[in-house]
Amino acid sequence: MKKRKLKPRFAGLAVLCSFSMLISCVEEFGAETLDFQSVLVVDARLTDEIKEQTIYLSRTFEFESEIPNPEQNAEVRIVNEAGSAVRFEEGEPGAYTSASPLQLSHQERYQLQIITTNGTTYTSDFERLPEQLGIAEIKAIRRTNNTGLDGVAIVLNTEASSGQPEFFRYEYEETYKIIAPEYNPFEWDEIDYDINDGDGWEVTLKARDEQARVCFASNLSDEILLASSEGSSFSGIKDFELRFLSKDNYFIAHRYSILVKQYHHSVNANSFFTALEDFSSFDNVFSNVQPGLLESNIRSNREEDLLLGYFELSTYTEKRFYFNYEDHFPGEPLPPYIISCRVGAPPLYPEGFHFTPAGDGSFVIDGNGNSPLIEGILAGLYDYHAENPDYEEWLQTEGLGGAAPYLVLPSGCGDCRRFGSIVPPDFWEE
Amino acid sequence: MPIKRFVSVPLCVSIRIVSSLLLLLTVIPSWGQEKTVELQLNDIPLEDALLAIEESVGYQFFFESDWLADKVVSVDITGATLSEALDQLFSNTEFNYYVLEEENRVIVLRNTVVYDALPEGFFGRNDSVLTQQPTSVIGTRPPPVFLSENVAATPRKYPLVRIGKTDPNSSRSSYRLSGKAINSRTGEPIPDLAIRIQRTNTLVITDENGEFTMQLTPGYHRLSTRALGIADSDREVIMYNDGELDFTLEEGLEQLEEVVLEGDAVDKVEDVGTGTETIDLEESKNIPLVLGERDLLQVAKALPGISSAGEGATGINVRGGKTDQNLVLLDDAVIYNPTHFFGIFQALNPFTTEGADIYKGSVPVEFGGRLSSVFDIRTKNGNEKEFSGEGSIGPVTGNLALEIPIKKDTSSLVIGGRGAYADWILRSLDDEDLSNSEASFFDGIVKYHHRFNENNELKATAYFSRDDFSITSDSLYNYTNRLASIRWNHRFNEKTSGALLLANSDYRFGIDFDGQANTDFDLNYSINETEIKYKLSTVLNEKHSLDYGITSKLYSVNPGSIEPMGGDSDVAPIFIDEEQAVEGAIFIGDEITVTDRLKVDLGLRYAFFAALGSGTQRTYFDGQPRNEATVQDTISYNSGEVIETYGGPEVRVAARYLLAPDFSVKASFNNAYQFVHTLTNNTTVSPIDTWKLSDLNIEPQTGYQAALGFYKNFNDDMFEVSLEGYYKRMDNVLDFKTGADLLLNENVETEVLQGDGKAYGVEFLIKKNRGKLNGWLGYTYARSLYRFDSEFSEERINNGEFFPSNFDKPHDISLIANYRLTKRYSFSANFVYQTGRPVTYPIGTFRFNNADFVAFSDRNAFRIPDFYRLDLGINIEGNHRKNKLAHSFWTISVYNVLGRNNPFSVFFVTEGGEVRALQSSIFAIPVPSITYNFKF
Repeated sequence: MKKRKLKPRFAGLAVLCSFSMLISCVEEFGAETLDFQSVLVVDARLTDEIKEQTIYLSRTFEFESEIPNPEQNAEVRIVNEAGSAVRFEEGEPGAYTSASPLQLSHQERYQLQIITTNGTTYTSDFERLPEQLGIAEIKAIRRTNNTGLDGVAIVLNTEASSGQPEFFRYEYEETYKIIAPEYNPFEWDEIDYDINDGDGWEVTLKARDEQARVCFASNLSDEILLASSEGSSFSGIKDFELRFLSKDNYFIAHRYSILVKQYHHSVNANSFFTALEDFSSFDNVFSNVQPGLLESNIRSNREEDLLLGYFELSTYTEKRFYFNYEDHFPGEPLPPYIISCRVGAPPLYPEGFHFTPAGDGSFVIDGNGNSPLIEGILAGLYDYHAENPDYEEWLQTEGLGGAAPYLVLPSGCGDCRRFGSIVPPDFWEE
Repeated sequence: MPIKRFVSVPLCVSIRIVSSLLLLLTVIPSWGQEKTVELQLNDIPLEDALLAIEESVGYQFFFESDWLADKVVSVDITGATLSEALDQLFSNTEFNYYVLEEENRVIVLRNTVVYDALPEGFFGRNDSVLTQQPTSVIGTRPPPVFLSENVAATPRKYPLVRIGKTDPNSSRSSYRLSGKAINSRTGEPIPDLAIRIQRTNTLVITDENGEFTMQLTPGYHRLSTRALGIADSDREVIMYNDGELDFTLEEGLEQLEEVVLEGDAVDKVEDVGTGTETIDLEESKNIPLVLGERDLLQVAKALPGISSAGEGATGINVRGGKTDQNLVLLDDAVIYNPTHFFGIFQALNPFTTEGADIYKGSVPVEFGGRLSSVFDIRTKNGNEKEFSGEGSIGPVTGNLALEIPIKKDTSSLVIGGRGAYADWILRSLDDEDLSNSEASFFDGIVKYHHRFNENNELKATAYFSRDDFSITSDSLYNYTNRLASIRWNHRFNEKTSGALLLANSDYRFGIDFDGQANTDFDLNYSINETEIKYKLSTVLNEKHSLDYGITSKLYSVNPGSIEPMGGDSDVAPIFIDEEQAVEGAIFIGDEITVTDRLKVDLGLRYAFFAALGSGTQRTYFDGQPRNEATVQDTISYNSGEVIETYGGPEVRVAARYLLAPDFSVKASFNNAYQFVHTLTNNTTVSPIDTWKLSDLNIEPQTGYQAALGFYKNFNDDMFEVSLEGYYKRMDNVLDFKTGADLLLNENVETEVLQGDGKAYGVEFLIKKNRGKLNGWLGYTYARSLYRFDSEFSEERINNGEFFPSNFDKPHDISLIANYRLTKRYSFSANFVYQTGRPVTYPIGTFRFNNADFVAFSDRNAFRIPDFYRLDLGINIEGNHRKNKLAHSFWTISVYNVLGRNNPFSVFFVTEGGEVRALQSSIFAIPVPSITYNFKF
């Protein structure tokens, strides 16, 4: 009997806060490392795919640091029960890749062995590849989620016939089409930000070199997605909700594709990932799962040398799925664009702009001497939108200071390349 | 003839005739004559009888007519001398007489006698007299009773009472005063009334029937009485002989002058047990509590040794014990979850609840089955005379309680109901998320009380509470407590009384999940227990008082079931086998008064438990960790078949030694068995924690506690100071493997660990019981440590070493103060400071599966910041003097005035592959509230 996800997550803490409408609930705080321990982290997720596979070794790091410390120069190998080994060679620091394409057999059991430079040996239990199970179907269903949002749920079915509970871990890669709502065939050309070159500051336009109206962007899953057939009368996975995209999510505005990666793994691996998820998520303010050292199937020969991680053997399947916004929301308004596209008119010369000639024929700008338009363009904030129809009049009446030659849009509104690539991915199907 | 002189005439009221007597009595004596009296009278006023004798013997009688008023006599006197006739006439009264033979006058005296000789040694003693006892100084006469003048002059609520009449032939050094204390409103006896004899500072407590007996030296005494819910009173008595005095006392409810926390002032010094606290809910009503809810459990937490993991933590921890180690009884029936909404509100109606006795040290021998404490919560007996009610309207709940007399002076009914109306607040919110949520609760109680006669009474209680809450629109959680109890109190004779009680309790929770997918389910858990108990108390003699009885419980637990809900749900139904067990005990306790100063309580209880079939149990190979791979066998048991038995003797010993009348030292030792356990993998209690019975693989928890304390009262019990230390060990307490899944697990023994715990601490409490400013200050230093060791790493926590529990808060200061400004206005404050509780804090961050996570290692190695909070309240009494229809009372309070953001927990959440550190707090800003209370 293992791991059942019975506890529906309390999605909205705000509810409890509002119960009395007085509770401040949850807030972020700057965590400090109090008693740092350097522990070996083993990310060893191998599959039945015939390819070069990589095991990552690193050490825990402090909150204050952003980058894990790779564990270098370790000996890493997997051994079958007969004793034959496959060595993993270190390429990038901490990344140990099998010397040749790995070809694991469903008939054999494998053990991970690691010897670190300080002489500690870590060995795993013998693990076996689970049976190969394909993804039967991926569907997108329009429905309301448990917090009341309208949107599209991406659900999948996997069939199994063993009669035993089966355990799965999922990852996905979603790719979506972006269309710039205010696409403009012109873009910024030359920017003259030298006041002494004789013609003052200048920004010019040109026709675009490449179309920037339609782009493609991808996004990798970053949560632990686990499913099992335990506790279900259905022998496989049925209608497992992998992803919910609200109607307001721009990802689904045009055409959306998801590549679902299914890792069929063991019950114990599932327990490990469940605990990892429990310890790194938040149910509600009143309950708090007691965290602790994660139980692993890898043990060190020295009790004081702790280890985090798991030697996961899984059988891998992937399946891609597409849908269009129109399929589920025919005639309905599109989700709002990724950013708000409000037109602005930043002046070329700042208001109150004034300069005085220097003795050598050049000019010295008095006071604030930055061009809002040029600074914005250089910082990548603006897309060209249109000529400013009021520009001439302003020059006549108010002078140079504050005059805005162009109307602009936030970057991304007229040029989708801020959010993606114009090159369709190889797999993309319209 | 010697000259007759008065040494003294005791007077209490100035009576003209007596002063004139003084003059008369100094007159030179004359010769008397004997005449016989013939008198046959029936039911005539005593005064008339005296006048008749006066006429027949020719003596002049002097008396105060008021004394004789209403006194009726029947006499049949033939051929008696005057003295014989008067002896007969006054035989059943408090009157004496003195015959002045020379003047043919008879002086009628109340209580006193006339001393016609000076005491020996009046003119000094010889040096050689060494062996004389003080009591024999007077010789043949009892010592005279002197009264100072001002006693009579002071107006009293209760008049001076004269007990008995002086027997000239008695030279006893003390007289017996016995009687009964009666509640003037309900007519019920008042048990546990403390009667203090002021001069000697000795104390007598009324028994269950309100009866008492005390020995008093002759003469004037001031007796002060005190009991929970009863107005204090002072009585002046003059002891002339043995006699009876009944106290008819008013309830203390209306006595708002000095509200808080009286009651057990003297008990604490005199009682034998250690670690006993009493809370009177009515008296603690001024203490400001969150959202204006009166809450017995919150008040309890302000006392030393009682705490919880934090605000919003459901369970209570007593002296370092786990939350499942408290036996909470409501009118004799177990209440499994006495709280609403994650422990923020109590599930007990404050208007029907009278109060609670909390035993955190010596537990009375009749209770058992939990290691740490007993909360014995009582419901009021209803008003037998007139219909009355009480209610309140607060920001969260509405509450109404009625007391209904059924048969005047015999039976009554108490009905209480309260509910939260927060639900509509949630629903009325604009936010769609929130309007789909709900959080509601209610509880109701009915108590019937019937007094058949002074030897028999019946009490019956039924109680129900329910909480519903949902946080997402697809899941609905609920839990309910249901209990019923019936109790028959019977007095066999003066010495023996007994109680037979039957109680049934039920706790259950459920989760209804109704989502979009095919995973809709209905999950249920329940525990039910039925207890029968028969206990007796016998006062064997002045030295021994016995408590003994037998109790038995039947448990039935549904450890969990899940069923698909709706037609398209693919959830596979699971029904885990029901668990059955019986728990029983026989007990006997003897309270031994060894000397006036030393009292010893010896108790022995034999606890027994049997887990019963039907069901299956696994056995595991010895010397291996328990998991799926080490299963040796699976045994099936038939219905009623004994799976396993546990049990053993429990010792309850306590002793008290009075170092001075108001200063005592006490010591106690007790051990206990506990056969039921909660399973939780939360750091604090959650409403979906389950109770598990001991079985083949899960042994009962055991524990012992030793305590030593000093108790001193100052200033006529105005101040009460106690210092108590304890040391406690526990065995086989339950914990769980990291990441354990406990709900719907058929083999929880593979997930739980059994280890040991130790707790120790010192508790200091000073209480000011009276005066405009009253309240208490408590300081506790306490530690609570647990250890889970095993030869297998997977069954160890923190390498098998002791680690602090989630509720280990070494320093704890509580201050509760009430200040009554005027009759209508009073202020109260509540301040708490506690060391921050231990939490499991990460040892670092790690990257795995392209995301960052935090790594945890040792449990509870760090502490969240210290907790402190100040609450202030003001209570305004309505102007209820004139218009008595309803008496109102406003409570305005601000919880957490300082706005201190006390962290409750820390979380490390991985979102978008990055770690975010979060801290939660429950009431982080000042929470004002206003509550309207009314009474009619």
